[in-house]
Order: sequence, then structure tokens, then C-alpha cells
Amino acid sequence: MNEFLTRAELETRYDGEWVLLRDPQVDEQRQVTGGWVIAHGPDRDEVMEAAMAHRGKVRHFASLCFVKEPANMEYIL
Amino acid sequence: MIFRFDPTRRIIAVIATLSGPQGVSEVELALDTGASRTLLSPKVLTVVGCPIPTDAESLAVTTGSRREIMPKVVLPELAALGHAVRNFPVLAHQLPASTSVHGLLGLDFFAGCRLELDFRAGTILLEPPHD
Repeated sequence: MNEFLTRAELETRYDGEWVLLRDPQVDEQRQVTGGWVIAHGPDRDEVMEAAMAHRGKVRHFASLCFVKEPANMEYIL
Repeated sequence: MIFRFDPTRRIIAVIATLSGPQGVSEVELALDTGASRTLLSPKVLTVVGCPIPTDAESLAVTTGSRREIMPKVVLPELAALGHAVRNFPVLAHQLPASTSVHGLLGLDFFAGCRLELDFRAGTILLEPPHD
């Protein structure tokens, strides 16, 4: 996974997953436009465990969510 | 500055930059005008070097379904929508996995700001506080 991917490439490759990046590139809106994939998977907490494991070695992370919100789910947070 | 959001989503998701002693993390938070406090996942806080201290002050929080006690953690900097707050006290709490965000951007982040949400255009205008 030691490969730089653009946002479009990430969306295609990891549709339905959470993605953890190192050294992300961001635009003027702070939107993540690409990065190096550290971990990915459908479970948010498992992906964030990878960030914990890389703590100290990586200074800049980004988390992206390509999981679709369920059609029958509403949110009152 | 004007920022874009996706008005077709059920939440207003914005990118926040969390800076701590061990690093920086870009995460999505839900802009929540129904939350008086900003809330972040304990894991995300730990990643940037701000784990919940053993002697953390706790706050009583009324949620949509119950009353809870949540620890408070001081984050060195939280930035979003062109606005940054230093030494920002946030609640550490894990939202359910069915949410697609790592926390909530609450009203305390917007203190003194002018905030405009345009659901037709999908834009957020935030003017930081006057010094």
C-alpha cells in the first residue's frame, strides 16, 4: 500500500470503506486531494487502530470515509 | 471565506484539522448547531497525542436519548472552515460506527463568529471573531 493515490483513485478503489492516509495533500478548502494509504476497511474503529500503531512514525494523517450512509438511517446527533 | 458542503447528505460534514503534540490529523466532523460543545473520538485525540488524562475533568451532557458523563480534553488546536481555536476544550466520546464522522463541531467552536449555511447553494460562510 506504499503508493500515492489521488482522491478520485481512492474513491474508486476503496468504495464502501474507510481509508487512513499519511502525508495527505489538501486543497484551499482543506479537502483531501490525495495521500499515501496506510490502512483501509469497512470498520472505522479498526482503521483508526492503524493510526494508533503508526503514532510517532507519522506526523500527518487523514481519514476519509467512502461508506455510503444507509438509505434508511436518519441522524439526530 | 466560503466553503462547500454536500446538501444532499443528511449531515453537514466539514473537514477539521486537529493539531496535537504528536501530529496532525484531518478528519470529517458533523457541523451540529444542536451541540453546545465540540465532541471528538478518543482514538483521534490519542493519535495526535491528546489521550484522555486519568484525572480528566468530566462534564454532564444531555444527548437526544439520555444524560451522560463525558471527559474533557484540551486540544492544542482545532481548525475548520478557515477558523482556528487554540487550547480548545473538547468532549471525548465515540459516536456510533454508523456515523460517517469522527465527531461533532459544536457551537463553542463558533463563539463570536458569523456563520451562514446556504442549503440551496451548499455553502458555508464563516467570518471569524473580531479581535
